[in-house]
Amino acid sequence: MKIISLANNPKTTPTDLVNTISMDPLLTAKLLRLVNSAFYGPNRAISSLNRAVIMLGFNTVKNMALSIAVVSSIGIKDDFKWFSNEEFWQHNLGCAIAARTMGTTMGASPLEVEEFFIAGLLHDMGRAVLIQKFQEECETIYDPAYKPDIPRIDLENEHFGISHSELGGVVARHWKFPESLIMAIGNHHAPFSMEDDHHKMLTLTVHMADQFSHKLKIGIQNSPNTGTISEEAWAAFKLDSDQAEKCLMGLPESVEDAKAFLQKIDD
Amino acid sequence: MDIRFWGVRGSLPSPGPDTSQFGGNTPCVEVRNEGEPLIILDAGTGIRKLGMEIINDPTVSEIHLFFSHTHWDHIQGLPFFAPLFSPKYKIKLHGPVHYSKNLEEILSLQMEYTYFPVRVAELASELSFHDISEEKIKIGNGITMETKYVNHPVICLAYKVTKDNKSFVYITDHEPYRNLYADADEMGKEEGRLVVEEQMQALIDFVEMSDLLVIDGQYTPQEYETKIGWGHSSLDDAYALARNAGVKEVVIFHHDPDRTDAELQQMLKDLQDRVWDPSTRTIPVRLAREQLVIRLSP
Repeated sequence: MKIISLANNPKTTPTDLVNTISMDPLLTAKLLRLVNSAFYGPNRAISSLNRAVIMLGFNTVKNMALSIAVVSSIGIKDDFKWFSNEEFWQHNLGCAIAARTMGTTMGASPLEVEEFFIAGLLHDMGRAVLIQKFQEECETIYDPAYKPDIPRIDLENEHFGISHSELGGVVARHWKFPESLIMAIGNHHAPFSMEDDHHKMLTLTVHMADQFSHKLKIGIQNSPNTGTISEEAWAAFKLDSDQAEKCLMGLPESVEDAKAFLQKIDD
Repeated sequence: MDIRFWGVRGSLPSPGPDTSQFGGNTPCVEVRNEGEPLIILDAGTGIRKLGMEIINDPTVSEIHLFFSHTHWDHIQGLPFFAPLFSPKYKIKLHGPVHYSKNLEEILSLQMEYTYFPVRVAELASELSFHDISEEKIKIGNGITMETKYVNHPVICLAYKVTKDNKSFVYITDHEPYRNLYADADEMGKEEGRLVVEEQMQALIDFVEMSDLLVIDGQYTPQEYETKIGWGHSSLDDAYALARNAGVKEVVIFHHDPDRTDAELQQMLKDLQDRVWDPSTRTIPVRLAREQLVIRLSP
């Protein structure tokens, strides 16, 4: 467990800690949940780990992360048929890095840019919940050969009455995440239908980052989602395809670097 | 509003001839407003004598005890606080929220049978526990208590007591926010810088124009350089906050347990020499000592 070895090492810096936590979507989600439900109300919710460390103290956040890591049990089970926990993690991380790079290119301030990363990292947390709770059904609907012409999100709605995206939004609200993250997680498959302009660009960026991660086959290999981006999405997005492509240069390498960093800590 | 100091020392009690002038008890401050419930800030060892005074005072029946945080020096006097053992008292204990335990669990731990003969469940007073975050609490008929998180290795609250347009701010166990991301990428560094700036300003706003600021000033500026991250301020940082917030008077609190009376006086003199500037108003500054009483008249 990387967090445990980091937390027990007196030489660990806040940067090491935040970099490591933010590579793990579930730990990040749980940590933000704890930070916001324990210390801040919904109007002042925090969406950046760097901010949490400065405001609450390195020691507090380190110990919170440690306690979560120790009791952590949510995750994609390694015997899940269609993708491993590692693939799931890599997909989310790829999406997070892409969202952050695009956010920076679009002119997000240093105070906003971490939110792009976190929103990307956590966008699929509803999927982890579905797989944990309904593994058998998920093995059917995530089978690329099962009803190949129907988007998986429609199959989720058909089977569960809710999509992984909406479910993620519900969980994020229950965990007292900031409204921006709730909207981005809950609408990342349907950003065009959002009325709330305030969070629309964040949500749209996560949608684009998600699609790009699928297109580049980062993480989940067996996905029927080929990462097609609709004209509607391009029309609403602030970046054109050339600018977006620039943001994606080096993305697979960044994910590999992150993987190598984590392995180094483990050794 | 009368503010009386019963314990002014940080970390652990430091009795002895070298500390007898300022006192060796750990933090405890009494805040009295006529006709209102009694307020106590922190339950260091200083609270024992305050408890003995309370049981001889027929005017006290409701007590609000606010913990800045639950490190040892701020809770270790609680088991020896006499009113806990009497059914005459209604005692409300308030302390900062924690992510895994509530205040009752934390305080009960130090009164488990292994450590103390009387358990919390056996106490005769009417006790209630309140986990608080940043909020505004009304007490009695006219007291407002406001809270703000400060920078310490555990969640710690600053308190502002206001009554009849007079306000008193208590900030113990705090050091200035700093950018922890000097080794991060440019974006991370900049985010850190902006968050620090924002938090420093939020604290100034909290303290602004108060009549009295009691604040942690455990270290000299030189000592602080080797204690960064320990959660305590230098005298100069404490004074700078008072000046930036335009407070009327500042009292330096949470003295180092190794500091003798003579050293404390020298520290204060050195600070006054450093901050003296004839072109600006110098804020009156003194050192907290046991039994010092400061009255804020309406």
